[in-house]
Amino acid sequence: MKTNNANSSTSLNELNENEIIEGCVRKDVHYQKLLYEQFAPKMMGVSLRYCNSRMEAEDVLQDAFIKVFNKIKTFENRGSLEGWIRKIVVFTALKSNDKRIQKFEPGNLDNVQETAFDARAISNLETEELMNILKQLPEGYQTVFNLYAIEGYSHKEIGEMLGISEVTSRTQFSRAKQNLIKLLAKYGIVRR
Amino acid sequence: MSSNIEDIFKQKFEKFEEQPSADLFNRIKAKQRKNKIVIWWTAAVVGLLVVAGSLFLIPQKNTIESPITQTETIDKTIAPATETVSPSEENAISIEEINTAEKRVASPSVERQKQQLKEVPNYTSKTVSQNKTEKPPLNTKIVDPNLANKFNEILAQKGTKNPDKATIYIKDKMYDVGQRPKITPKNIDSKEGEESLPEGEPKININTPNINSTGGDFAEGANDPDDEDLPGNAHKANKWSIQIAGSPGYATRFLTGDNQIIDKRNATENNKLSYYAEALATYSISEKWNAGLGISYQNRNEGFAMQTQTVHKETIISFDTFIVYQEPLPPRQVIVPDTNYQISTTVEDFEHQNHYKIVNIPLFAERVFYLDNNKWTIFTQAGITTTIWQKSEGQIIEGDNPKLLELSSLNKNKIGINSITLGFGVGYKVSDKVNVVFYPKANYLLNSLYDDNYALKQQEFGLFSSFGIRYKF
Repeated sequence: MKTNNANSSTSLNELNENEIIEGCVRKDVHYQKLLYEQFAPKMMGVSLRYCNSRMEAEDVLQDAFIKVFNKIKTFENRGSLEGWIRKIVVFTALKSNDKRIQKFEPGNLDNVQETAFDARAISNLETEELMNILKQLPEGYQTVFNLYAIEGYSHKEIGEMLGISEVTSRTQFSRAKQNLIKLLAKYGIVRR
Repeated sequence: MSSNIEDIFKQKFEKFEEQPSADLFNRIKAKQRKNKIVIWWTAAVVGLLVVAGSLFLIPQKNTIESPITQTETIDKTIAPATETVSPSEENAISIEEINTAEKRVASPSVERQKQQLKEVPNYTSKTVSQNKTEKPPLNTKIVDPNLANKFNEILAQKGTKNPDKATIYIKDKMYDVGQRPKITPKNIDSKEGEESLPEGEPKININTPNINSTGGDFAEGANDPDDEDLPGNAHKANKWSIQIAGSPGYATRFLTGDNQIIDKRNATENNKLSYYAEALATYSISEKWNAGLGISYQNRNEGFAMQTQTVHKETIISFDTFIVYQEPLPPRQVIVPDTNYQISTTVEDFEHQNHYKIVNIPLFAERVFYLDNNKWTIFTQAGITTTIWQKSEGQIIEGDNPKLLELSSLNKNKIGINSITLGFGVGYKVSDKVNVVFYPKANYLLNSLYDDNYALKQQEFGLFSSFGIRYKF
């Protein structure tokens, strides 16, 4: 009996991803909830990086999951399900605040200088502290930094996503980095 | 340890998780449902508009303004034998769409004429095609001597200068030569037209307009089959009407879900007389189709009756007297109080009335059937409505008896819900502008009064006779 319980518990927790997808394609609320419970906390973390408030992040998450449930039949198992959902969350977040796109200033990398910093000191920080520092960046910098450094998009892809040039994306990213180090220095976390 | 700042951030944020609000999943499902309703609503409106638009744009086949597809030319030998007119292809009367008209009129007299056409060879006709389509000309013989006489008579009265080119218009049992007729329902009903026929002339089995005495009716330029008073053409001039109607009626609700609660609710609720009122604007988009928009109010009343049980506990104190012998003391009397409880139950009737008030914006398509006598009209209607205001008052059983639920607590987020409406009615024309209508309607509210947190779904249904007037501008 114990074994049975263990098995059913395991099958619920480690439910085959394909099974969940098939359930969601059938619009079965039970499977939709399983999918949501599996990915919502992680995607909330993603959404929070792009939004100014928790409420805004939840709105983005809500719209993103509606898209996920409506479009899951188009997911063709080419990549990971998590990657696909993350992409939807990121795109929804970007779309939810088009104003950000207006804040990118084209520029060049001439004035951008690399600054040395102590990596260990940053590593010791909690994620929440890093989030607070990241949030102090101008929104354009935040977006490009998020997309390049954390999501792993190329500058070319970012340019296409945001409607800016590849060079602008690079510039924004470099400035974001510089600003981050300045902020870290301001709080005494790194020395310039 | 990575030395790139972006790598450090990536490592940290990749594992970062944050629990969203507990009710977010329910919000997602609720928004999905709302989106679905909006999509259906939009599709329904677009569908209605497309249907209405198509009906408006597609030319009506059976109206006289349709392009002429076939024209028959009849030899003047159709005149009675006393009139000798040499047959000639040039000296001919054109009858426009006689077959179409016959079909439309579909009166026994026309059928009879058609039959005669086949049977009697005395009157011959030669048919040519006026248009240049490759369709073979329609061979039709008009054999009814009365009809032939009438044609000639009309030609003579009109003083048609070029009778060869005269065109006979036939529409809804009326015909004229030369111009399109203006014929009012009064003319049709009037006996003057018949009286004006030459004495001894057998009546034609077609209602004849007052061709003798009302030459003015056929004056050039004044005649148009689009005239509003022709039975099928009311839409041409008077596109807009308003209808105000209302009535008491029957309304109820359909419950699905937890059967135990449904049984209890059915046992405690009973239907009372409900009321309905509407103010509608209708637009005539074609001869037979109207589209309409308006506002309606529905008040469903419901009686609620249940018995409440109250348990009363009455404390009764009695005193028992004992004689206590306790030597060496003398016997003594001891009084001991004894407490008893008396349980009683009283049953009381608990009654009140529930009211469900809804204000809707109906959007509908209406098919109109004109009856021959032009007084009576039959309407059928199908439409959708959106609720703009809803209020429920009273109490119902929520779960286990006697727990009651205040209906007012369900009065949230109910704007924009929709219902379907069907109507089948009849109108009587009391004047050119006013119709009295009796227009029974049924409507069914698609969404539930309850939200998803409840184990029940409640959908509203109403059936109202809807008496009123329709005023044509």
